[in-house]
Amino acid sequence: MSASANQSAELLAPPNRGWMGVSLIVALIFDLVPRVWGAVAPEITMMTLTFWALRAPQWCGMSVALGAGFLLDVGRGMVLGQSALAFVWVVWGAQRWRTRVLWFSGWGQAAHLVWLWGAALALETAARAVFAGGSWPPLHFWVTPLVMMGVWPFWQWVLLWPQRYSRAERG
Amino acid sequence: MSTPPLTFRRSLSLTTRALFASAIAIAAMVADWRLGWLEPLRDGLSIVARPLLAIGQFPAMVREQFERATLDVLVLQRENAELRTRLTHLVVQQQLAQRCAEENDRLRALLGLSPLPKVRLIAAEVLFDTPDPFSRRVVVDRGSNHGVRLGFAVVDLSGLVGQVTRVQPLVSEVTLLVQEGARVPVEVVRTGTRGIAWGVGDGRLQLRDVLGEWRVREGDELITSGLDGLFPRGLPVGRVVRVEGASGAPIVLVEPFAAGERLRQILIAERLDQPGG
Repeated sequence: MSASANQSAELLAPPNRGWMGVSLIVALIFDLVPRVWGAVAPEITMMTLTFWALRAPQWCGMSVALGAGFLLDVGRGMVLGQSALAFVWVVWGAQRWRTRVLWFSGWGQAAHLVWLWGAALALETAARAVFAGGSWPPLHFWVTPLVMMGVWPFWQWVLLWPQRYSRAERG
Repeated sequence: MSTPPLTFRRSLSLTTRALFASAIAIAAMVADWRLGWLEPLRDGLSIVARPLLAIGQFPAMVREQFERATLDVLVLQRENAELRTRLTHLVVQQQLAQRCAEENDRLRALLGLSPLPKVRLIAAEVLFDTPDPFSRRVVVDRGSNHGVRLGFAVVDLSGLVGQVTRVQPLVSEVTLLVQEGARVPVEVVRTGTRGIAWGVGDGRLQLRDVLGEWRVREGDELITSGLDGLFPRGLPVGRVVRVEGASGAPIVLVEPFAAGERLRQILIAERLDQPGG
């Protein structure tokens, strides 16, 4: 992973729908790993949806966001629809600003996306408070978007892996 | 008038679709939380979610097995001896308590009081903490097939831990006492003052909604009052650590007995009477 190259300028094979499915499932598994309560961890499913909404908006729309959100809610035993709501607006933001965001390299993209993720998590929290009885995450939960920002270049590098031409040609 | 050909028909704009999708999400939240309509959907989706959950738990399981396999025999023997000693103590105490309970029943009968509700205990083991950053819950390995029902109290060695908030056939979910917004009717052992302990979210409880006079001071112990008709009376809840403010309505902070260390073995307590009966 080289930090220097503008990743969006890299020559890439077209995205693969099967890989999108696999990556979303892997992301859901990551997010369902039991953790000590209050531990800060990146919301991997949210990042993966962002990636696909940026790279393949024709596939990663509202229904995928809703589906992944409902699955995560069930797996975590949260109020149904909570993550779904956040994911819908993450996909919305990513699709809306994709042409701009994709101009930047990994860190530049992360600096744009951190606001989107933060806003989506805030929306999720607010919606939970209003519609489903107030229960709040601990204060340090709000470090989550920053952690996601730090992980983004690496996660994007992983997700782009099957699309790199050298690999596509060999396969 | 004819409808335009398909090619020219534009799909809904991105924002419209997002608004539509979030309406679905919010409707689901309301239907799930306020109305409880979505349990069938949850059960259906959990067919997909459960394998993912199982894979996610795999690393922790491996670590636990490893820890178990590498436990020192000497440590185990020492622990075993300690547990035996404790068991002996407990059995003797239990016999004494049993006699007291029988005597109490007889005396209550003589006085014409209704008998105290009996309690049935279901032993369970904590499987994992739910990875929900919003609330503190654990999943335990006993469900409706084992007689667990919604609202049962959950205790461990030190005292009240929480309450069963979702039941599936083989597992159930326990919301911890310290979860913000959790409530439990309590009683101050020393004075009999009754109130409600609320989870305030920082691992502590706060005593509120006291009936009558606030006769409470630091160091007082709280037990469940059983006034909700769900919890048995007398489960240890916590100790008052701070009383501040006016004597009319002071802020009373309570440290739960069952705080801190990780939960493993627990008991689910069922009160064997009709609520309000």
